[in-house]
Amino acid sequence: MYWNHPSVPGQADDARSIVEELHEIQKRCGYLPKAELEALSERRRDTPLHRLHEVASFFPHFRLQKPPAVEVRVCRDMSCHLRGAPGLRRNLEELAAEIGQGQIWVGGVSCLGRCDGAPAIMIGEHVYQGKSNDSYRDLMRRALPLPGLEGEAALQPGHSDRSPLGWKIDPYGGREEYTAFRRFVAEPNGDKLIEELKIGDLRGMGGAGVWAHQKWNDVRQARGDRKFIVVNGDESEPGTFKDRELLLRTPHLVIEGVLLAGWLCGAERGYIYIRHEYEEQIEACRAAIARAEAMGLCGRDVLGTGQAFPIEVFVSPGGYICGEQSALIEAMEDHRAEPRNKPPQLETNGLYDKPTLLSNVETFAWVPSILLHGGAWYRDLGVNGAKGARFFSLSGDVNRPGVFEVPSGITLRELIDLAGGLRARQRLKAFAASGPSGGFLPARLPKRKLPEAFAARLAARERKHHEGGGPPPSETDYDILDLELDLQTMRDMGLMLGAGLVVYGQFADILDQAVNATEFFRNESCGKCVPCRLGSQKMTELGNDIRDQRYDEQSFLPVEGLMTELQRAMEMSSICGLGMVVGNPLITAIRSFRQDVGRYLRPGDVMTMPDADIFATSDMKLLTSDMKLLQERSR
Amino acid sequence: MATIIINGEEHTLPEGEKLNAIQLALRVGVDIPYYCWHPALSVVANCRMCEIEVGSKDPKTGEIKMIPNKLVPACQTPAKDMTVLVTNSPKVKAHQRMVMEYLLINHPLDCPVCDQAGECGLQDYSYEYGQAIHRFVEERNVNPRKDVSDLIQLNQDRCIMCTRCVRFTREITQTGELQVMRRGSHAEIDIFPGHPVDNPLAGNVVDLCPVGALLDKDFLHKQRVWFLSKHDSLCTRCSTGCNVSAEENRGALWRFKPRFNPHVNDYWICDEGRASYKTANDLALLAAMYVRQDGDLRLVPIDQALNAAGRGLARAAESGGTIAGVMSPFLTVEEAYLMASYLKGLSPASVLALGPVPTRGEDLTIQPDQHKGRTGDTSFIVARPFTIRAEKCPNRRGVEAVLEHFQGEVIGFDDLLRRAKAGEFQALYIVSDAIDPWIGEAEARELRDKVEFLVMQDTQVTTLAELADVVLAGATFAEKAGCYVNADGRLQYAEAALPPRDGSLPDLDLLAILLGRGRGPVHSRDILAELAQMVPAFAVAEGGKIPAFGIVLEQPEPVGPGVPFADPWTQPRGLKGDRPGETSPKGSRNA
Repeated sequence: MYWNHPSVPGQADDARSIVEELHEIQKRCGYLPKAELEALSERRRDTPLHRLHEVASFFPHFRLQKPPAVEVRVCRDMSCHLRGAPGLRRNLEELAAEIGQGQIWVGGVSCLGRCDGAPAIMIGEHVYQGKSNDSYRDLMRRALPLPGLEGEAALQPGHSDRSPLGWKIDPYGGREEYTAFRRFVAEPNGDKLIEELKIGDLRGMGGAGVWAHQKWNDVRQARGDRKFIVVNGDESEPGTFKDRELLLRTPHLVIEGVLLAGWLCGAERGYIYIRHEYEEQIEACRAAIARAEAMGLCGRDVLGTGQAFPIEVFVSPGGYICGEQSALIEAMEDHRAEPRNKPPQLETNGLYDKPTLLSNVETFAWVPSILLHGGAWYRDLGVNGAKGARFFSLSGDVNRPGVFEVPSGITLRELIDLAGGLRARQRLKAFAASGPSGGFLPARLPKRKLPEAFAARLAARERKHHEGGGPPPSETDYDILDLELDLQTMRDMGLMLGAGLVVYGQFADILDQAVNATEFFRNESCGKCVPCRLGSQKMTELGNDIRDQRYDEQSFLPVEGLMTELQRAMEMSSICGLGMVVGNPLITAIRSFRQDVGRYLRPGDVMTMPDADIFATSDMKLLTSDMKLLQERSR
Repeated sequence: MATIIINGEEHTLPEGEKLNAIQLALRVGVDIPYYCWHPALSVVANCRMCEIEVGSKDPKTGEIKMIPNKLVPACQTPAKDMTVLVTNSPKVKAHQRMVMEYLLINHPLDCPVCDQAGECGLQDYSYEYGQAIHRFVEERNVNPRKDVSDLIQLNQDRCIMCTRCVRFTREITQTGELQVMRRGSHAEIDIFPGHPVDNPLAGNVVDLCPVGALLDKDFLHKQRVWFLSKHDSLCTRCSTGCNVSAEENRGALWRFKPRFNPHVNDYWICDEGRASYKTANDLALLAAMYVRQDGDLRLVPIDQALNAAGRGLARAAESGGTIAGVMSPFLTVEEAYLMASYLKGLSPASVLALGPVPTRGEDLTIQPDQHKGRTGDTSFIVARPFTIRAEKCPNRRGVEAVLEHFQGEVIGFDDLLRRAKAGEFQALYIVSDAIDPWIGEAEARELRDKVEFLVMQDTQVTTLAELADVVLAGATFAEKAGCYVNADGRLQYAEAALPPRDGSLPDLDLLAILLGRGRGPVHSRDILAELAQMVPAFAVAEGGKIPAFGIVLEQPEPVGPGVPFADPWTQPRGLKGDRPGETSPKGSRNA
């Protein structure tokens, strides 16, 4: 046994996790009173007080003090920051001071996953998005418990549209048919399933991009008496909200994916882990599970085979770090959500130290259609030489931010066009390809800095395009709008690609955005390992110093070196991916957006713009190979 | 057998030993710095100080493949066959410098007023692995200090969040009073409000803390640690015989720290034992020798007191009376041996008895589980129990073994008292050195009346001493060197930590003079060698040598680079020469 846990909890439905109990207390009391915690510790017998306390204090969601009557939290991150959250927050703070009589508290909150409705706010437990400042002010007024009014409890956010929008991912057009699973149970050919995934080249959609067929096969072949399937629906990266739509519009596909994985691996239980801010999604998934149970697809007896496979929704206490797969598992085990050291990997030592298949919502959701239409169908969805299709959430300075199902390899230009182009006819200034993690790409990349293999391919294609009658290609610059949004292509360039894409128009202040992104990482660092705990704080302070105009051009130069070194050390030695990317926003901002930095440097002279050198920053490619080597060693 | 390549040199590891890279490196004399790792606790790898380059060698082709562009924590890297470790590359060194710089960013750097200074992991590693300059200009942490128990103070501003203390209370004592509160740069160690650290081993969290965050309030601001001389001693407060370092300056003890012994106390000592050093500093200890003249006890020079004692006992023997000797379970085996030789030499009819064996409560065993309560990698842990015994003396078994050799039976104190009260003995020689008085005043007077000649050898002023004919001032545990046999039958050696008090002599010297063995101090080792020759039960101590971790009398186990040294942990602190893993004159006892 490698990771040690008292035992796998029993199958009894009343065996509740600490997190669930805490959710329940908070719902009842509004916070976690000491007496309630003491009573809970007493009731659970094997749970000492410190265990409750450390878990409760880890998640900002849990309050250990009695909250004011109305708690208003304004999203702080990325798209919301870009689209006026700081102003809204000031505005609401002023209003609170005016009308609140000390009963309204206004503060910030990490990304709520409503980047398409930026800026978003949370009043009490409910999230509101896409409203004007005046509407938000009005909402806050109505939340105040006044004589004759019910206050916040009376507010209900509206219901979202749940139609499947004709997505290719849904072979059933929104009907809960579960054909792929029914066929698989009738004829359980595991090798074929793996083979189809392999042909389809389906990769993990959470960001790391591990091949699904590999992971599924690893868990399938892992030795263990008990196995688990976990869907990672924590989705807390700023700019990312595609799982929000998938969980809402196509919960049946996620469930079917879990069923297939469970049946393939011989797992005993499936969990759908959803962040607590996704209230509607939690409700939609629970309803879909109930319907699937009624159809005999999951639960005590799956399709008359006599085998049980229950699926349940686990409501995350929240936090970006919970999206890190081992931290997510720790949270499910009622620990502080601190990432584990790897190896061992979850495929062998996951939940309760048992083999666990943990993948992103979207990865699971693609499997049914791949099985029905064949791997080749999925593979051929890609364009520009890329394979497959995927969902992007696009937000920021675009006219119609939202979630888009697109072929892999689609260019950024095409994607932005789908979103109605840039707001107010701005020019593209910067592009964040993986939430804040990958930093900011400038609109134009110098060609001579591009990796050779990629540059050669690019040159060939541009020549062809030109000969076909297109405009002559630029000698020096590569237009980022031509960037093909495909994991492999981006990796070949040494860049990261996530599912949360944020677009910045010409008026955006990238340094300010970068400091904001760094603050996000600082706020979300779990504090387990030294480089990230201290480095993220230090990086934030350095960024703030620049923004506070503490440097002139001379004194800034060593700071730049220091930041690079800080980032390098974090990348080398942090336990998880969060620590590795903390430096990316600021480093890329400083390297590629000198003018934005120069604006904050005394005496005010704008620095000459040197070459963008963003390729020195990301080691994702190397990291995956490291992980593979580690994995091999651990066997 | 596993072959491991460390910094280009090949080393082999015997079959079946499970070590991590830190332990392996230590074994072959390579230092890998670390804070959060501890051999008795699960791996969390959060300090990132021990990160090194790791790779593997293909046994067939001999090709070495390193994990590229990534450092790996040594604490969680198993020393498997064909593992390649690099601990001294520029990359590793740059990383260590950076981690040190990180850790010191907000550290208050209040070393001049910090108790840990001199044995601080931050100081030592900063010197060895850090750099002299500090590039970050930063506000210092200012967290108010708080008490986590009556004995322990937490200075959160100095904390590096290694969580050793938290893991200790969960994994070893399983009481779990400490926890990590909040997260990220706001994370702190804390207790649940109103639930202080309360367990018999609580003081160990202070030893575990690599920096000055957790401090012993008993020691707080009393001494600078570099003035302390450390002596390998044993705790005499119960029959477990925990290995301690008795730390002395200017003729007083200032604290006990645990010393690692896998067979006895692992890395720990209990709070009661930790506080027991204080008896050695008691100002009321017996500070002179006395002889009764004209009905009163008169202070006399040592030689006169010894002459009086020797003459009185010899006269009793010559006159055909019976001499009784009472040997305290606080005596070392050497002392017991000399005393028995002396009295039996005066008259073979002398009666030898064992002094009262103090007991309190019941044995308390703290049994850490290999897995329970632990959260990280536990594969390198050897979980060992820790027992606090009810028997509150160090050497009952050793004295009994001597008694059995000399008279074939152990006579208990009550038995002896009864016989003495019946008037069986003409002279009585009591050697106590115990902590608490043995008998009350009335009983003492009754006993006094029944013997003609009473010699009392002790460290305290007791009623019996006030009634005695000769009072000899003996040594406290700290003032004497010698061996004790613990409850498991393990013979262990304790160094003297203090010189004899003015007016006293170590018991071994007193007995040697009474025996007429030349002048000048006697070495316990010589006596032990003699004991080993004369008394078969102690044959294992041949030549007066015993291994560092002691030796079981009945069933000596092999000592070598194998089993007992499975985890030679060195604390990341203190003087380098004091590390038990390193070769030093003390280490040469390891055989």
